[in-house]
Amino acid sequence: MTDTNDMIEQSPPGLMSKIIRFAAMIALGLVFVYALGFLVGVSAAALDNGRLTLKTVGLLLGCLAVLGLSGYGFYRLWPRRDREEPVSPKVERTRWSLIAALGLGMAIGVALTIPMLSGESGGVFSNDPIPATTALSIVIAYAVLTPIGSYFWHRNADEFEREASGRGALLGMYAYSVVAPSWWLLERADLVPEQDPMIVFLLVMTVWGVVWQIRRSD
Amino acid sequence: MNNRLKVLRAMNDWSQAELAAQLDVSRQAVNAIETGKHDPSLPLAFRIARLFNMPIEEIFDDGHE
Repeated sequence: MTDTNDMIEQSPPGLMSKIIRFAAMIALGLVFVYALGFLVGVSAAALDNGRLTLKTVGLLLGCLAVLGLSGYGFYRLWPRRDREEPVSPKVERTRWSLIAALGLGMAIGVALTIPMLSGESGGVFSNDPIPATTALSIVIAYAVLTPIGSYFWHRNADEFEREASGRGALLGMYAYSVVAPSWWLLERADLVPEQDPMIVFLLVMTVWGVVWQIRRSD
Repeated sequence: MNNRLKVLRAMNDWSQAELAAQLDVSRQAVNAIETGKHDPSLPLAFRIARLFNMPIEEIFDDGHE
């Protein structure tokens, strides 16, 4: 049972505000991952050196501040209504599998930030060489955990959630079918730089994720 | 497809989340069905009909006589 106010439907937010909200959440998530990776890297370097300088303390405090602000911003942007409502065990399991996927993505982001701090890599999404142990660890974790997580999610997601994800995946596939050959042709004509698989990957995943979230939101 | 889900839910004084929990779907799924954004599958339509103890055609209307 619920009170009358709970029964009144609020007018749904417009498409533009949804896009801005999701874009802000993605940006804050990336800032959080970078800050976490920076914090881990600076801490590891300080432990290696065996001394804590004023500069290191300042960097660590700065990282913690950025982590706190980006984490709080992400928390505020997360749909609040979801946290207070009753959910079935199946829906709860779906949410946990998404949280686990987010955690895996963050762990990979942090792992890729660490070589950047030692000057071995230009950034999380750069094509610079990284240590073989880092690459192998990430590939093993990603290639093993992603199919398990996906299977778990598909077993528990309801039909509307699967439909929203499927529509996002289809549009992501369309985006890929346009971007990959177009870039390849333009590259052959020497009009654009060499095709970067990570840019294409991120573009497809962004289209998938944004369409999925917009479709499933009110 | 038109449906009376919102009216039936209000008659039972349930929120979208409360109805969703009983149907084992997310609140977003209930909202999508109520607003016509998503047509439920036959198994879900049967679950809805059983919950309200009504025939499917009294809840969902495809516009044909």
